[in-house]
Parts: sequence; C-alpha cells; structure tokens
Amino acid sequence: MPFDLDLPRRLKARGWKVKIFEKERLESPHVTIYLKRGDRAWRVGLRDGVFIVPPGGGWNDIDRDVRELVEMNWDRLRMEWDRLYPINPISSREDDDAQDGGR
Amino acid sequence: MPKTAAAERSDVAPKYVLVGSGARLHGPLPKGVERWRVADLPRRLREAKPRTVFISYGRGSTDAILKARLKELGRPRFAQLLAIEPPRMESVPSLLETFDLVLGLGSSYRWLPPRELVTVLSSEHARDRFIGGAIDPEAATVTLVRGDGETMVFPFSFFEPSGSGVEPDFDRLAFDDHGRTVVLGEYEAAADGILYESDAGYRRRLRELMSEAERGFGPSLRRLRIQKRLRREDFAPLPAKTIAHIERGAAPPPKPTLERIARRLGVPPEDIETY
Repeated sequence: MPFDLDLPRRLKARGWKVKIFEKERLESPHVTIYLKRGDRAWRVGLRDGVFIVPPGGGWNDIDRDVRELVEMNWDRLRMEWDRLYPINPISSREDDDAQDGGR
Repeated sequence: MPKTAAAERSDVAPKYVLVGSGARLHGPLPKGVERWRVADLPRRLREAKPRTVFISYGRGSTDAILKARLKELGRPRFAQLLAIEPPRMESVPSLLETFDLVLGLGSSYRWLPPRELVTVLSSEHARDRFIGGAIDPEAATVTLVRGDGETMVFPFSFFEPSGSGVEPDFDRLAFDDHGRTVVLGEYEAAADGILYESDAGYRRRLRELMSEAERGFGPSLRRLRIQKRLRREDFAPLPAKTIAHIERGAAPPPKPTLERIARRLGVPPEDIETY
C-alpha cells in the first residue's frame, strides 16, 4: 500500500494528493505531490527537501496549505519512506558520509 | 479573408477520434481529439488520415467503424483502434485488417477514465503513462498499454511488495492519476518506477534531464545494485566501503574493478551507467 498523506476534504476536492508510491525503490527517496486538475506532479526529495528534476518545479507551484501539511509531516514522510523501502533508506547516504568522513 | 474557427477545424484532421456514447465527456476536448457520431462515420472516415487513432466505447460503434470502413476497400489502414468495450470475436480478423494495431481484444482490459484517457493521449508525455492494461491469470502476466499504444508485458513477480507488505491484487487492476499510477488493489505502483526498471530508452531520456548529482556513474551503480537486491557487502572481495565510495562518485572505477562489479550485477560494464 502506498503512503497517502491524509489531506483535508477541501484539498482533496481540489485534486491534491501527497503520496509515496510502490515501485519507486530505485529513485532518491521522495514524496510525490499530485494535482489532478491540469495533470501536474512534483517530487520532493526526502533527504534535502529539494524538488527533483525531472519534473522540477517549486513550492510556488503548490497550494500553501499542501506545503504546510508536507512540512508538518516531514518526519513522518521520511519514516514512511524507510518503512516502504528498507533497501534504499533515507539514512543510508548520510551513514556513508559519516563512516567515510576521514577519507 | 480570415478563416472562421469552423473552417480552421475542418482543415486539421484529428489525431484521436472518439466514437460511441460511452465516453460521456462533457466540456471541450483537448486539442487533436474529436468526437464523431456513428451516423457521420461513412462521410468522416473518407476524410480521416491513415494515422488516426480511434477510441471506440461500445461494441456497436466498433462494428459501425468496421462497416463504414469496409465500404472503402483498398484504402490504407488506420493506425490504431482502442476498443474500450471488447469487440465481437467474429469481427477481430476484419479489425486486424483495418487497423495496424488493435488494443482491447479481451474482457480483462481496464482503461483510464475517459477524460483522463483523452488528456493523456493528446499530451506530449503520452508514452510515459499507462492508459490501460490486462491481466492474464494463466500466464501470470500483466500487460500494460503506454499512451502511444506500445504494450509491455510483466510477470506478476515484477510487482514485488514493498516494505508495507501489501501484496498486489491482480483481480483489481485499474489506472489512476492520468496514467501515472497502476493500481492493483491496495498496491499502487508508480508508472515512472515501472518504466525506469524496464525501459532503457526511458532511462536514457530521464538521465538527460536529471541533476548532475543523480547522473554520474555512482548513482547509476547504486540504483542497479538496489534493483538486483544486492547489499554493498555482496561484492566481496571488494570491500563494502569501496562500493560506497564508488557510489558517491561520478566516474567509473578502474577497469578490473568495473568488470568485477559488472559480473556480480550480471550486466555488461557499459550498461551500468544506463541505470
């Protein structure tokens, strides 16, 4: 089951979704923000909060309330990614860097 | 004298034609998409370009296309028919003579909702979305149809459960989010994830758009290692730390190391960077 961030009815009615899907294990950890109207999607990296290219974009494209919910649930989203993809966890690259710091 | 909107429309043959009442689409259709009434088919088919893609929402409308077309024997085939309702089995040989490609020849096909379907078909990203598909329980395969009509066949095992433990339910195939999501019951797979694992051409296109940090040799090795379900410790005698170091770099390692890694991954060394 993908992780589907529970959004208020008002945002759902406007077509917003915030999800971590299945079959994304090869990609950098991210959450997908989707807007049905206009068929638009953004992917926000869960390591650094940067919008992944492609498709790119930025917070200016996204409803302020959706942004606030994503920020409020940031730790939970990271935890859910790690639960879905234990083979590609958010922490793995950070651990590498820590282990490898002296080289 | 300026052309009227109607005159301009008649100059441009539609690429996608909806036939049948099942579509129930309200509001304007995307550019390049038209709806034709069954009664108008004989006249409109004479004007249609061979590259036209027909989307038929009913068995009756598929029969009507066929009858109208067979009155024009000797004309080139049309590009494609998308039969949302499966056609009569008896009509299949004639359909295969009339269209280069017929999709939807089976009762297990499922499609995107009509509005999303026409939006995806007419978008520049059509090839990167799944508009429909079918399940074959005997062969244990999932067939997915891309927006450009290409089909891809996957074994059930391709849809492995993620860490959530939820198994895909192959009796509940559906498509959502304008073809970005393949739904198998509670299991919802991302189309881009499916394409990334299975289509080298998609990977190449994506790599051109990726940030520098994601494009180098290291990130490619990391993705391929994960796809092959290997840990960094699985490359002995190469130490796990060496693999971690390579995965953070942009350049490939020296040739002997590269060949050893490629052997363990089961791919030619030059293929690693395509992932």
